[in-house]
Amino acid sequence: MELPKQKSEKGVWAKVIASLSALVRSKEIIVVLLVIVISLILAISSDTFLTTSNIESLQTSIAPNAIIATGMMILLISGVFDLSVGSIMGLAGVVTSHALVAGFSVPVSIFIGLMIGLGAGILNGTLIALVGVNPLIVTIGMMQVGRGLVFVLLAGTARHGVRGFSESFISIGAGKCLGIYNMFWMMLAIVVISQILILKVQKGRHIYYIGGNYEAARSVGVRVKNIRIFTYALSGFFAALAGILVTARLEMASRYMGSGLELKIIISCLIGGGSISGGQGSIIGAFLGVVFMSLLVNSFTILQIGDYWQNIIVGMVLIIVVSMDAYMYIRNLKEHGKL
Amino acid sequence: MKKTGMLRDKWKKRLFLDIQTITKNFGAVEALKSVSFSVKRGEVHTILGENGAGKSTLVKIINGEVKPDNGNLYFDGQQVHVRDPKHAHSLGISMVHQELSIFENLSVAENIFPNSTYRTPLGFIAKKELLHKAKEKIALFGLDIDPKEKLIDLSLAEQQIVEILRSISLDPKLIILDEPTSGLKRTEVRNLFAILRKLKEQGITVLYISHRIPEILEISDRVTVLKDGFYVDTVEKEGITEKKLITLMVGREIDTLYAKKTSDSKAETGAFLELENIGKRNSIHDVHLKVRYNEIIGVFGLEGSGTNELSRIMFGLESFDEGIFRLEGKQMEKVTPAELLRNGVVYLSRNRKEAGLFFDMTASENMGCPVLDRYARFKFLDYGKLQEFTESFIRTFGIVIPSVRTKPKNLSGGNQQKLMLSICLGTDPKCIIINEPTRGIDVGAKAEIHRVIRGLVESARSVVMISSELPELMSLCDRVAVMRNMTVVRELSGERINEETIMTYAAGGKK
Amino acid sequence: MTHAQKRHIDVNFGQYSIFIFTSAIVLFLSLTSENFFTYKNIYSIVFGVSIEFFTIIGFTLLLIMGEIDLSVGSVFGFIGVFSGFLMLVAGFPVVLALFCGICCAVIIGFINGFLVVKFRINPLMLTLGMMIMIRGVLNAFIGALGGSTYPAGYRAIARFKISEIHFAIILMAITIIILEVLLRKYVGFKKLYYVGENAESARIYGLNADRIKLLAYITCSVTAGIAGILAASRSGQTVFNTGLGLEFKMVTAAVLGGASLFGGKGSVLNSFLGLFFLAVILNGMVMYNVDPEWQGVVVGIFLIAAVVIDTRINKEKFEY
Repeated sequence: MELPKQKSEKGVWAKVIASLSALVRSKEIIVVLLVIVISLILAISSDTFLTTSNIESLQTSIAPNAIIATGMMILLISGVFDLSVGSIMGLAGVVTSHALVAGFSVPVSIFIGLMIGLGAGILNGTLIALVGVNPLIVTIGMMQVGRGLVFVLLAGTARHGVRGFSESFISIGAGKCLGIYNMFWMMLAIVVISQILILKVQKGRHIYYIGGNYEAARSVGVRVKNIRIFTYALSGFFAALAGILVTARLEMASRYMGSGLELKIIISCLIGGGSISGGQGSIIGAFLGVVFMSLLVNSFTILQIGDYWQNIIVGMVLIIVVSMDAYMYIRNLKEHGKL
Repeated sequence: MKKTGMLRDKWKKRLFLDIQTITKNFGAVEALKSVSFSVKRGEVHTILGENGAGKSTLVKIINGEVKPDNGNLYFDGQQVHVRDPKHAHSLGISMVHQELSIFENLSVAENIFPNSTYRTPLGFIAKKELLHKAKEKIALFGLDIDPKEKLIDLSLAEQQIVEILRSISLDPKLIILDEPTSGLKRTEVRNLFAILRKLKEQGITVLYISHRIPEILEISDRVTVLKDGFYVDTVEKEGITEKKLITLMVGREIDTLYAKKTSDSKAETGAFLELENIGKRNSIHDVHLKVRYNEIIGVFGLEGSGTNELSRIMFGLESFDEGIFRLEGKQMEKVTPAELLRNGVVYLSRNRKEAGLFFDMTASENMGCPVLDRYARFKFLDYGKLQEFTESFIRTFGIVIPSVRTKPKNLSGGNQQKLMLSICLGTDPKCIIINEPTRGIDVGAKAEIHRVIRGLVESARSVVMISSELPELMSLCDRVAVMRNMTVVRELSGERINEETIMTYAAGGKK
Repeated sequence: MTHAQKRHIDVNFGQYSIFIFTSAIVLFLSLTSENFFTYKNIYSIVFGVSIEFFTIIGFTLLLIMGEIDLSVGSVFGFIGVFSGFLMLVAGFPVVLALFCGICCAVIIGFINGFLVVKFRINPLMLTLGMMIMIRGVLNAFIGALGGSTYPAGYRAIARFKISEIHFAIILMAITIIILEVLLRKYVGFKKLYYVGENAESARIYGLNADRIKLLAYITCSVTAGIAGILAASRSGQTVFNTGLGLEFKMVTAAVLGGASLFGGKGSVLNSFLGLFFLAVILNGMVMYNVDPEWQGVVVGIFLIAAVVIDTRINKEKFEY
């Protein structure tokens, strides 16, 4: 079959320009601009922004959050979300530290912690996919249970939680390579690999199908229930991983680790191009969203904004982002004549 | 001997799809009654019938979404029991439904190949090859769609084509299209037909469901007519004319169940409700309708003609963009259900499950909803009075219900409908808008509801009845407005209210 | 099972089973623990419930309509602290400060309702965001007040007794009775059930869901505010993390009491029983010397269990 002559191989420049223009038109451009703007503001208004110690602290706040956000973004793309990630993070950290203190080797302890996260995620996914319970309430309940278990496991310990880990464990969190934290490299690997998987692997693309039109996805043979359970399990796994990394770096397991984190992660994902209605978003966008939120929190410290203001601003950002998301969704429906 | 054997094989080979005595009931409703006919390989075979004739049910059986109660299917020489749509795909059967299952946020190529197997050596999706294959399919039909474009940016017609291409990419032997042309413009319909002809060239058989006779005349090789779940006839290409099809669609024995309408109408000339030039974007347009005092006016239209939209706009459930709405001579500024109720208009929706009943509340609570203030003393509900009120309606309409505390979810369909009718009549309305009064209801209850409707006009009320059952319209209505393509094409009265004429305007080409 | 049969199962699940559960647990604890069934213990349980009780009034009303407000915990904490702030720092007389506090609650409720109704924002996400924001403001005020004690007038409210029984308990009892009657018979409240059960049907019969929803959101914040005032009065000083997690307790109690996240069901009496049930469970855990840390876990498990059961019984489609 003779097809119309394809345009001859585009030059490299043409391809670069094409990618850039695609980026400009995409949702991710907003978060790119936000990151650039806030970086500039911080760089200009404070001399502590670009110091080594600040960059390092940025790395250690971005890395675990971006790992969790990867799992969250995958869920958002498929149309759901997970509010238990903060508690799972804390729980995995605590469980791993107890295992270490009890004498288990570092790899085994880490394995146990990861399994906790995986298990919680599978439980979430099963209740949501097979029983059909509202994801918000299930994951909130899991959040309660998880946080409660953290308190139970840390009962009787001093305020700072468990301490005294081995060097090898601590190095996992605190170790560096080429001047950049190991956990940061790990995070980058996870982000890049996940992005490739959901862009280029058929099964990965399926999350976009599910999020775009659940019924249609089912009817074309996408295994929706399996994917639901898998993605929640992944979210739990990543949350556990992040918890273990943070515990290792801080050299302690604290009661409040991850508390309130889930909403900050969701905000990061929404800023990065995700949508509550599903079907949109990218891991790169989630990563950039996390970068933005971390810079925002960083600005609180640098510009010395009070603790209380942080919550207010974060809450307000959530409301703004959710409202804009809703507004764009409705405007989209109107434009295409559906409302 | 040998010769008959060869002839029989030849005959069998030409019988591509053989439907034998298929029967299907949904509870009390007999959707298909021992339907038998066959489809030849490589033809465009149309299934024609009015609403409720059984077309959708039949093709859903072929596609595996519904299981028949009785009968056999032979496909490509073998008997098949289609378990589900996936099984249908593997057999070579593919269907495009009326409501599209598309992924708007994804590209054309991704919509055409949701489960593609084109891979690079690394195991990733070979994007270039995917696009190339998509382009191939698109070009096959002489179309001009960019496979990289997101579906949300395409027109409805283009989206539909993409879904058809998806079906084709499964290499089917049979493609079923359910009402593909509702919502398409003339040029788009022509494009669609060009595609169908190309499918024929490739040896794919097309089963096409429609009620639009001009289109059917254009594209069909043969036409099978269904009516009330029965198989009527199959017409060969030479014999396909509009008149013949309409006669087949509606010709019935005169049903003694429906008393013939008496000729004197009690209608007065003034209009209780009047729609002037009413229109809404992507919906009905240029609608003129007068509902006179003391008359029953029917509205008839086939699927996609706009009858449902009209009824919703008439009761303020949806807004309209242009036109004037008059009630008792005065123009209404804001048309809302509450406002209309206050002026004596009520509405019975066509899907009582979705709207019209409160399934998990008692019958008296249901009855009380629109008239709460009337059965309250100082804003406190008087359950005693409400109970009496409910009981009186139960008696009047003969609703079979154990007690006033029974909930609609525990009633039969006919009784649910009667309850909904009671709720509306309990408001003592001046005008009742009913959408599909007897859909899915057994014969006995149907007759009773008709009796009630007739009685309404005796007591000085007006009725607007949207219905897809011609006998019902004929026996009850003083006038019938026929809708087609989202507007009222004709108003018929007196002698002209007969099935052939109504159907001609509804499905045919007359203006 | 056909759809019709499935719905038969819910034969008054909520109405009577909470009575049964509660009675069962009370019986069990009375028999097995000697300190449980004493006047002092039961009284303290009831008193504790009465402080948080008012929150669940408005919350139940919203649930009946099929809506939800997750900011009640933060509003609970904030209004109590805010009123105290006005008294301590701005020098307002007690009554005026309380009045301003309630007005503040009205404003919050109005914002919630307005955004949900006019912009159709997902109530779960919106009220979650409100929860965070108000928690932030709350913490700011707590920081400003330090650990100050509230003025005597404020503290007296919770301590006020009528013939040996705290005012709060009496108020609770009266409110339950009145609201139970109102919800069954008062036209305005009946409309909530109609809209929650089937919003489309309600619309056809002329009920204006939007206005009712707005009022319900305002009521919810106001009742949370009232409860918050009682709580602040009882504790007598600013407490960090007051009201944290209250919303989940409310959802659990209400759903245990028969309300449904899908709307159309619920009553204040039953929600109270749900709260009472939870309180008894927690009290029982104390009796058995269970680590107080387990309380959060237990509530969380009950939440999940209640919601799972609610979904199985009341949801139409089992697809997520």
